[in-house]
Amino acid sequence: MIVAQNIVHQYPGGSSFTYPNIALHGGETLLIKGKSGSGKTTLLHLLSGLLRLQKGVIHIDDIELQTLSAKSLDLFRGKHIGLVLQQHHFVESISAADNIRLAAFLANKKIDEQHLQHLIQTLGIAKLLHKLPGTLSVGEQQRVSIARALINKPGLLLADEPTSSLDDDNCHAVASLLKALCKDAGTALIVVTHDNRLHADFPNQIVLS
Amino acid sequence: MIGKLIWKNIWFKKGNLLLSVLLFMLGTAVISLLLLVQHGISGKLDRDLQDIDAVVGAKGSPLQLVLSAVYHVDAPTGNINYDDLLASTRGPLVEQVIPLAYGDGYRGYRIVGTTTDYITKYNGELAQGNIFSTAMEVVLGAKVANNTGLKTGEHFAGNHGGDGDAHEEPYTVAGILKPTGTVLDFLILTPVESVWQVHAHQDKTVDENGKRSHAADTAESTSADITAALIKYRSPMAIMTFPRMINAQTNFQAVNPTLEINKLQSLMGVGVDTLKAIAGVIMLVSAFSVLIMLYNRLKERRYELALMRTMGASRWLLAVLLLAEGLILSLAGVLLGLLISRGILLLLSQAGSLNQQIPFTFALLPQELVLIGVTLLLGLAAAIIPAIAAFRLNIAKTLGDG
Repeated sequence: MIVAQNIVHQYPGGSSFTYPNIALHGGETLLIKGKSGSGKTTLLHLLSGLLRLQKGVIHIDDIELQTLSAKSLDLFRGKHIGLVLQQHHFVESISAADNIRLAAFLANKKIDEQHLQHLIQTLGIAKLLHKLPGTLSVGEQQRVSIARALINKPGLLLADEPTSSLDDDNCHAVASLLKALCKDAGTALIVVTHDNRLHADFPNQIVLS
Repeated sequence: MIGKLIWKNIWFKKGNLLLSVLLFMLGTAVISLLLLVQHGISGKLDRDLQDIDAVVGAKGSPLQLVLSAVYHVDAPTGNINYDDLLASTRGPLVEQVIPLAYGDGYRGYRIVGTTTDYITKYNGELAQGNIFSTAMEVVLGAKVANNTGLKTGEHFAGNHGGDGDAHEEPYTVAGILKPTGTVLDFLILTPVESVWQVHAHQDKTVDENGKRSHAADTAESTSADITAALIKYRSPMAIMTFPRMINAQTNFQAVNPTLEINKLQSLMGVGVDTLKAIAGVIMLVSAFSVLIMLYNRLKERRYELALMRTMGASRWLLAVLLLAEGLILSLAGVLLGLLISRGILLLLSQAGSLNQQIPFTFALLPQELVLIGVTLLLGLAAAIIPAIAAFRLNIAKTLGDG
């Protein structure tokens, strides 16, 4: 579950963003839309604790992010927040499988092998696991990064432009997968995008101006 | 998982890895080789010196006398009369006089006329046969026996001047010594009378032919002549008085071998120190190469490091990853360097007779432990700047840039 209230963020000598309140339970979804420069990615970074909150309050799984020390916040993020980024960054030197397992290791969590198998089957990535990330197509990287984000059964999954590089068919397929997997795991899903194709997939929406 | 991650990250860019490891290897191999050679030579010099307080011989270069009489690696300075020497050393200052008469050889090994005290001085023990008891009997050092194949009871003729014509009188092998790790292993030992006997016969032959005696040109022993003597003092007082007395009152010279060898080692030390300095520069260059490599890799890997932070990795963990990579590269370099130095040493020790005389060690020297420590510190130091950059990585900005 995530609750975000009265969030305001100002860059030094630059733009200021005021965000609407957010309250989302496990298994629920939210689409945050907005044009370039509307502060979508900044909101995502604030919600994931990558940017320190200047004003407002964020609770994730009943923990107030601002109360955590830097080190605790790192570990909390690993355990409770999954991130699917626009650019699918990986640790290039290790296989796709190790990249997924690394997420559990860094969060200090034991891997639920049954859950992992479920992710592998649902995302259809069994044949990709032994490959190095650099050898995968964008779509394949996308699916591996979703598995990596959900391996720790986080309370919140944040997806930044998850479909921007996909064609229409794959766009809706990924949206369906994200929704289905989050529902199964009881994970709240927030998708940040300017991709209008996703409107129909996520009825609960906020538009940033 | 961390170990795997570190190893995979290093192995992922093998080209960079190879260059850094090679540079570390080169620097440590040179320093290690110098340390091993220096250790081998020092050990050899010390072992052969035993408790020789002075070397007495014909006037000439003191160092040449020591190298010739103690280590048997140089030509002698000339001959001295044995009776005169005994007369000069009689008294309370000298405890022991060991005569050495040489000039001939057999297949590159020096034949030394001496007494059994010489064998006792180097703790020589028989492996086969007996110690020589009469003239023309010899005892072979372990290496001589091994390399010439001579066995007890066999006969051989010594060569004039080491590599000249063979003498008529044959020597008989009475015994073979066990290896001692000293100069004894490389010598053919016989009573001093054998040398006199061989050369008395030669002098006669020369006289009969009407030609000039060869012994007059070289330091080959003639009857009652010896080449040098090893002296052991009875009291420390002799250290000052004995050489002065010999040098002033006789036509011999008395040399303190420790003093001469220290001079030689300090001369050699200049060259060794220069080589060590060059190797040190190579190691600094290798550390700089690791720094550049890790820093460039950091730029390439900043997204994945930021990603690891989003997955729960602390700043410290990222810094430790970089430091470990620097440490592993330097460790690989120093271990390979130590192996290479031993490989070169093995080749060197089999290259020539001089090198064969130096019993090199292949075990890790205490100074090499310091070398390993210094190399690891260099690797760590080289990784510190990239590690600090990883520690300070701004995740939000990095991921935003990506």
